[in-house]
Amino acid sequence: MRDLTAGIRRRYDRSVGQVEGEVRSQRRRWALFLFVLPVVAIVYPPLYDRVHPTVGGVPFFVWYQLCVVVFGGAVTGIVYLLRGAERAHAE
Amino acid sequence: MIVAAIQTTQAIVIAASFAVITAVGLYAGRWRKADLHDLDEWALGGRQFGGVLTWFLQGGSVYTTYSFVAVPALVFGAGAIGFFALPYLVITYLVAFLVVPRLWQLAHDRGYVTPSDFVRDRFKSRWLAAAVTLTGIVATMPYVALQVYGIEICMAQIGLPVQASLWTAFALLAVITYLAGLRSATLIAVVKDVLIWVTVVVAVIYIPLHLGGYGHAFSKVPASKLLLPRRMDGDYVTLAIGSGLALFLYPHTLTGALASKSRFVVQRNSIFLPVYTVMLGLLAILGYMAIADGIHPSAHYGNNAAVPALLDQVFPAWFAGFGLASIAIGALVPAAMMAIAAANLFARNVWRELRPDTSPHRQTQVSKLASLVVKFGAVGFVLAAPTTYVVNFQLAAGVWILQTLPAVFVGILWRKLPARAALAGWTVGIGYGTYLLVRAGFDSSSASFGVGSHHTQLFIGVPALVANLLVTGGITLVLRLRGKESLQAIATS
Repeated sequence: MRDLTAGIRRRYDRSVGQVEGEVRSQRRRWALFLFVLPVVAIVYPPLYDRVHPTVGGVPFFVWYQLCVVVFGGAVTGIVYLLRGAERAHAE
Repeated sequence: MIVAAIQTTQAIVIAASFAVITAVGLYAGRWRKADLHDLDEWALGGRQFGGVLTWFLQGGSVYTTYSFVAVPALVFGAGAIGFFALPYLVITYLVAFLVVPRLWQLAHDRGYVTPSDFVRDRFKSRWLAAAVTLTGIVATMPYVALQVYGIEICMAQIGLPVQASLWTAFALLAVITYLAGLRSATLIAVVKDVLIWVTVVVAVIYIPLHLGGYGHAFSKVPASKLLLPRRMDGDYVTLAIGSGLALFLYPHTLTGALASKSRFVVQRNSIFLPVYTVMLGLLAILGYMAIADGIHPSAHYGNNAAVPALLDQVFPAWFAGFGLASIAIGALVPAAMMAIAAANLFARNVWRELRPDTSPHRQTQVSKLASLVVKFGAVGFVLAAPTTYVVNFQLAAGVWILQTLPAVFVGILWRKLPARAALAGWTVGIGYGTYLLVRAGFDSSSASFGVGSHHTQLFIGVPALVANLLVTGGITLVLRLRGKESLQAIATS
């Protein structure tokens, strides 16, 4: 019984090791720091808690955050592309 | 406006929409045909969906009645604070990009269906897995109830008998999901998206024109509602961060991610799902439009009826019906996914834990039946309990599910986390969070915190998570200092 669980654990470790090893070996880890940008953009509301300037009548508070949403998606896309080498191997 | 009787045109459009999704849902059972007695096939659609289908499916799990009804209602009633949904989803997709793909890979390699499967396997701890399972089920139930409530509001708006229409809607959904599983949710999600996008695009163009332009409409909104009230900054940010970290801890959002065929599909969707967030922002603006249009809170549903009432008032009858149908069906998709996810937790992490000799087919059977119980339980709860309960339990659920973060997310990112530390952290987080919720009267998810004279409102989930993480970290440190208690030692304990 103990041998069996040890075997399962070994296989488990191997499968986890694979994933984590692979993730570690990904290129351009620094690219992840780009994620700081959208977080900084929203983390301090006094920065954007105002009505003016409005765009087409929509308050700054609203359109600024809509822009951050799009920006966040764009940053994610950039990070994805920057770290793309590993993807080619995996797929 | 006459609300006395059933509004026939709207009712016909809604009935027709439900007929369409029933047909689509039943067809789903034959689509990409497979053995639906297999849990992977029934509950995860065979783990085979590509980018586009996963986009629809994840969209269906992330954007729910909470987005379509509750967020605009918050903007309508409380103002700018409702826009916390935007930074919330920015955080959500960072989590989805950084953590969820790793969980996808582990789930793929090791056959996990639920977050508790992962916890059980990695920590080899029954108790920690039980804690995560319990939290998942308890947190998902009010979320399903919220979807039922959303449908109820739409039905009531056009004067349909609430009880009969809810039971009908969920009987249809139950049959479809029972037969076709996640495949039906996926295909219905596609139909739902067509409806909801048409509604939102038409609404954000037509309604401001109807009200004399955005500038004019916004000028009718009281200035106090356009900006955050004083000392609400902390509440706003903690709501965004807490909810953002929590969303992918819910079992049903994981279900959406695990149904994809590769973890890169999940990553790519973190790039493209924000498109929905923009739609959500536009819907939130409709909360302001409802103020400008002079909509009054409904006697029975309060602010939550704001957007349905706005659609009904502004649009011609047939398009109002179309819009209300899109909101109702927008609730059915997540309801189906939540029911499947909660049922999987029950079948795999409760039933199978107690009866390890359950065959895979039997497991699927248990899960299918449990999904029925979840759905009808939710309808019964909504019809029996006072409506404020639905919303309040949903708020509490957000606080509770966040407390599984150390076990699930930290567990994914850091292998050496001891189960005992995560379990102690969970206990403290749940205890402290619940204490704060009760102290707040159980009808608000924020409480006042501060040192000396400096006080600020915070979302309760976040201080509870901080306490949770401090305990988890502290115990981890003690255990590691006390003699290199390795994963193996804990695994065999």
